[in-house]
Amino acid sequence: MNGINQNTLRRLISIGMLAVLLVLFTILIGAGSGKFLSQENLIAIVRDASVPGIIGVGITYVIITSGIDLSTGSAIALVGMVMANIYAYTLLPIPIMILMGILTGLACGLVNGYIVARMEIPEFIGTLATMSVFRALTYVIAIRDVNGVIKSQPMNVSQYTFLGNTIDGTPSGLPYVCIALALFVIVGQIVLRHTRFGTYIYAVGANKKAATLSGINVERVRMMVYVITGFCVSIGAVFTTARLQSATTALGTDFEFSPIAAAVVGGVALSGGSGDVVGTLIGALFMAALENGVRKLDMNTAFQYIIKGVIIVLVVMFDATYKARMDRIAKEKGAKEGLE
Amino acid sequence: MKKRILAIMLTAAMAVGLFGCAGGQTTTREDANAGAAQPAAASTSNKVKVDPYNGEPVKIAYVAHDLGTPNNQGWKEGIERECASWGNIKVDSYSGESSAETQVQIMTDVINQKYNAIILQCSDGTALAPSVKQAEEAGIPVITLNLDADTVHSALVMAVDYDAGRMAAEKMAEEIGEAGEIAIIQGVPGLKRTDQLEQGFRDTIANYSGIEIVDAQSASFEKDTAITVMNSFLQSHPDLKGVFAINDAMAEGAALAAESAGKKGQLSIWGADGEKDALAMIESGDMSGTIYTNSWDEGSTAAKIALLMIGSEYSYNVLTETPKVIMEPIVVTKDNVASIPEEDRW
Repeated sequence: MNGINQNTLRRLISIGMLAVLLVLFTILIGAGSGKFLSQENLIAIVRDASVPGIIGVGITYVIITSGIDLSTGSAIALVGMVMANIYAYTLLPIPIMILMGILTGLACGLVNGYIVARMEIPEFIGTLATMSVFRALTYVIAIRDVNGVIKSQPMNVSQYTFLGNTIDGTPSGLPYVCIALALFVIVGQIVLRHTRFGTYIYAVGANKKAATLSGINVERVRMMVYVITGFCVSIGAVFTTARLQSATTALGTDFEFSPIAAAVVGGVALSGGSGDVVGTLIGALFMAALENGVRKLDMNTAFQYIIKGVIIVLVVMFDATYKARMDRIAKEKGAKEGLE
Repeated sequence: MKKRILAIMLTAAMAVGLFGCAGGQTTTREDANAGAAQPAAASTSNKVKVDPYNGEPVKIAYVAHDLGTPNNQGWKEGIERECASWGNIKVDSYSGESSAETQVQIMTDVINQKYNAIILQCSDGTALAPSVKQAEEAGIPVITLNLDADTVHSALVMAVDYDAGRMAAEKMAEEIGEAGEIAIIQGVPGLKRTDQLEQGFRDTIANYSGIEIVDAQSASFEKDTAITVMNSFLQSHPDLKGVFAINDAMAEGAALAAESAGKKGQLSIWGADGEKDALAMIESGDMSGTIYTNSWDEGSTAAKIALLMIGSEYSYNVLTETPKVIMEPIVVTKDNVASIPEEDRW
C-alpha cells in the first residue's frame, strides 16, 4: 500500500481535531482558574465525556460489525427505572440493586441482538423499534403517586450516590466515573485488538460472507456485541443515576446519539470493519470539549449542534471517499493481476 | 443449558423490576453516612461579599429549563433588564434543553467558572439538588425560578402553584355548570410546581360531585404534543366539557385541536402562565382563560434577589427552609383580558 495506512491517518486526524479545538478554545476563552484551560475544567470535560465514552465502547463494537444501536438512551432510562423501583419498593442492598440494573441492561442487549442477529431485521429498524419499546417500558414501570402522576424517585443514600461524585468528595476532584471510563477503554481496546473475539468482530464487519466461510459464528458475534453494549449501557445508567441521585422517565435522552457521534468522529467507519475504542474515546472527548467551549463563548447553543453536524458530515465524507479510493486501487491491482 | 440459565436470570431481573410498580407504598432507606454528612448549619460557607453596585465585576448565570420557550425568554429578558443599568453586571444564559442531565453538567461548569450567583429552573428538583448544594457550599447563592430544588438554598421565586390550580378549577366548574367530564393535560412529571398546580386543580374539582376527571395525559409542556393528546381525548370522550392544561403552550395546542374538531369555543379550555399567545386566544374565544403571571417581573425579581445575596454576608447555611417570593396571580378570562396592557404581555 502506498504511504500511510488508513487507520493511522484517521487517528492522526481525530487527535488533530481534538488538539485544534483545545488550542482554539484556550486562545478564545483563556487559561487559568475559571477559564477553559484549567484543571477543574479539563476534569469537567472528561467527566461529561465519560458516560458517552463508556457506552461508546459497546457502540464501537457494534459499528465495527457494521451494525448500529439507536436504543442506548432508552435502555439507560429503563435500567435506571428498574433500579429506582428496587430502591423504592424493596430494602435489597445497593449492590444487589446495581446487579439487577446490570442484568436489565444485558437483557436489553440480548433483545437487540436477538432481533438483529437471529431474526435478521435490519439494525437501524430493529433498534429503532426497541428504542421506543424500552422508553415505553420505562413509563410503564415509572413510580407514580396516588393520582397516577409520575414522580421523580430520589435515590439518595450515600452508599449509592458516592459513585456519582468525586473520589475526594470535593467539586474539583477526580470523579469515579472517569476511572470507570479508563477501565472500559483499556479493557475494551485489549479485547478488540488482542483477542480472537476482537478479530472476529473486525472480520464480521469487513465481510460477513467471508467471515462465515472462514468458520466464524457470525450470528453469535453480532449477538455478543449488542449484549456488551447492554452491559456498557447499564454501567452508564448506574453512574448517571448516581450523579442525578434520582431516576426519571426522561433519563438518557442526551445519550441517544452522542455515543454514535463520538464513535464516528473518532474514526469508527459506519460501513464497518475499521476503527477502535481509543478512537471513540477521542471522539467523546472532542464532543464534550466542544459543548463545554461553546457554552463559555456566549454563543447560541444551537451553534454547538451545527458544528457537531458539520464535523460528522465531514468525517463520514472522508471515510467514504477514502474507502472508495482504496476499493478502486484494489480493483485495479486485481485487474492487473488478472483476477477480475 | 448455560444459555437457559442466563435467560432465566434475565427474566427474573426484569420481573423484579416490574414487580415493584405493583407494590404501592415506597420504603424509606437508611443512609449509612447520614450522620456524618448532616449538620448543614455547622458547615462553613465560602461566601464572599461583593458589592454589585460598586463597579466590581459581577457575573450571574441563568440556567434555564429550555431557552426556546416564551416563558424562559420572558424570565431571561426580565433578568437582563434588571441588570442592564449596571455595566459591571454580566448575565450569561444557558439552555438546559429540557434535560436534567444537561443542567447538571452546566451547573458543574458554572460553579467552576466562579459565577457570583446562579438563577436556576430545575428540570428535575431531585436531580438538581446535589448541584444546588454544591454551588451553595462553594459560596454561590442559588435562586430558583418557579421550579424548586429539593434542598435548602438562598431563595425561590415562583408563580402561585396550588392556588392557580384551585382558581382554574373554580372558574371552569362555574363555566361548565358544575357538571360533566373534564380532562387534564400534564407537563413533565416530577416537577414540584406543576405537580402542585395539578393537585390544586384535582382537590378543588373533588368538591363538585357532578364533575368527573376522566383522563390525564402528559404532553411534556409542548404545544404540538398537546394537539395529539387533545385529539385522543376528543375521540375517547366525545362528551368532554373542559380541559385544564398545566401550561399555556399546551392549552393553545388543545384549543387548536378543538377548533379542527369543529368544537371552537364549545369547550372550557384553561391554561396557566399567561403568555402573549394565550392572551390572544382568550380574546378570540379559542381559550377560556389562564392564570397570568408577569414573567418579566418574575425574572427581574429573581435578579434583584441575586444582587441582594451577592452583596450581603447572609448565607444559605443559616436557613432551615428556602425562603420564597410568590408572584401575584391574575385570573384572566375574556371579560378582563383587555386589562392586561400590551407592555406587560410577554
